[in-house]
Amino acid sequence: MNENDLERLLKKAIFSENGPDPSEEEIEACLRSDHEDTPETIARVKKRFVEKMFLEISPNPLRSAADNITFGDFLESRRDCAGLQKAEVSTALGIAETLVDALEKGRTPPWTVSPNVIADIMHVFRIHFDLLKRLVETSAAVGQLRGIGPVLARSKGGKMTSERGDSTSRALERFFARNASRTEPSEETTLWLTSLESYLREESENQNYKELI
Amino acid sequence: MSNGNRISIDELNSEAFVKRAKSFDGNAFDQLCESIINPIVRYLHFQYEISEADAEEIAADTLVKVHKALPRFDFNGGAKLSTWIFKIAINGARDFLRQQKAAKGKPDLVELDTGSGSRTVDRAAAATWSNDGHRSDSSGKVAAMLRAFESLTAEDQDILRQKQCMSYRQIAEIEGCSEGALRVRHTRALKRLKDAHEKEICYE
Repeated sequence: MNENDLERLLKKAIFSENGPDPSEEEIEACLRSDHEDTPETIARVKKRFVEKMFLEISPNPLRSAADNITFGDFLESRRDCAGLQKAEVSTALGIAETLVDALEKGRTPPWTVSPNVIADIMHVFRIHFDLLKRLVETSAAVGQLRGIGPVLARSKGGKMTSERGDSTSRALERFFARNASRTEPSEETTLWLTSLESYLREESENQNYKELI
Repeated sequence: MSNGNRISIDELNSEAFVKRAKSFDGNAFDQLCESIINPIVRYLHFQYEISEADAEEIAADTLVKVHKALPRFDFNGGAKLSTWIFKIAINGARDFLRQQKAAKGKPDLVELDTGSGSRTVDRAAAATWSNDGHRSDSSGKVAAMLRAFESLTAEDQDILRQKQCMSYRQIAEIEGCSEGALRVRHTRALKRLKDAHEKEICYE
């Protein structure tokens, strides 16, 4: 066996499942090596990390929620449950962090967002279409209240801030979400849900969406 | 996409950063991800010869484990944060290799030309035949090499292992000796490895 073959076999042995642990110096040398970073690799790994974090808490897509809850509140509670930040979720979804924030706070209703973005959110957050329909219906039922928060916050006196108005709105939305009686969804919401359902069925060859419908 | 949050290895291992990372303060976890994803994927791909796609999957699993265990990481325990993360990744790579080996062990019939006519054998058995029809048990050779390596002195093992991931210049900086002296040490260690490996093969 020549020197090259010997070294090749040694490498296989060292980096086999039973090989020795690398030393701290070897690890540092690897971290300090001046290879150029590939942002695409970082983005793909970060995306898979977020998907796996949600998979850990919901191995199967969720079909129901414990309470009447809006789409935005559901996203926020699942993200908290997974221990993730908005920035991490937005990277995984390839959307702006401000959109994640607006969806969570209910400033952007889901039916104003393109079905392919919502389908990705459903995939990452593990939301089955059955549950999504309920979340959207609840969001639509309490959506009419938007704008009432700042008025109520001001009526209690004190300095009005957007933060104060926002938190009043959210508290009211949560109250109405829990207590609202089920109403027929609007034509706009129904049409959007139909187009989302069609999109998921058309794309059902995509393994990410297959289990959502 | 990457947002250029990468920090230096020294900063990553600093007490201040570890404190921030442990409490998921601001973008600390993102900085950690940006700094270690590429080195981990490269290390698993080039050293363990795992495909890039699988190396990325192992790196993502590593981040999940790091995210869960980070609050319990003990800065005063002696291990550096980077070493701790790398060891999690390496354990992931070893588990992956074991699973791969176990999957290969499942009966999976293929047609094999053994040199004296073709026969149907399972894929694992086929892997032990070289192209010229001679039997070549590669996992046996690797195991014999590992035993030979482990029979060497700690000093020989160190130089042989270091040379797998570092240049003579890098090792010389760590060891504080000349590159020439290292070359001699490496050549001698290789010679002793060769002898030990031949002995291992003879015993089989």
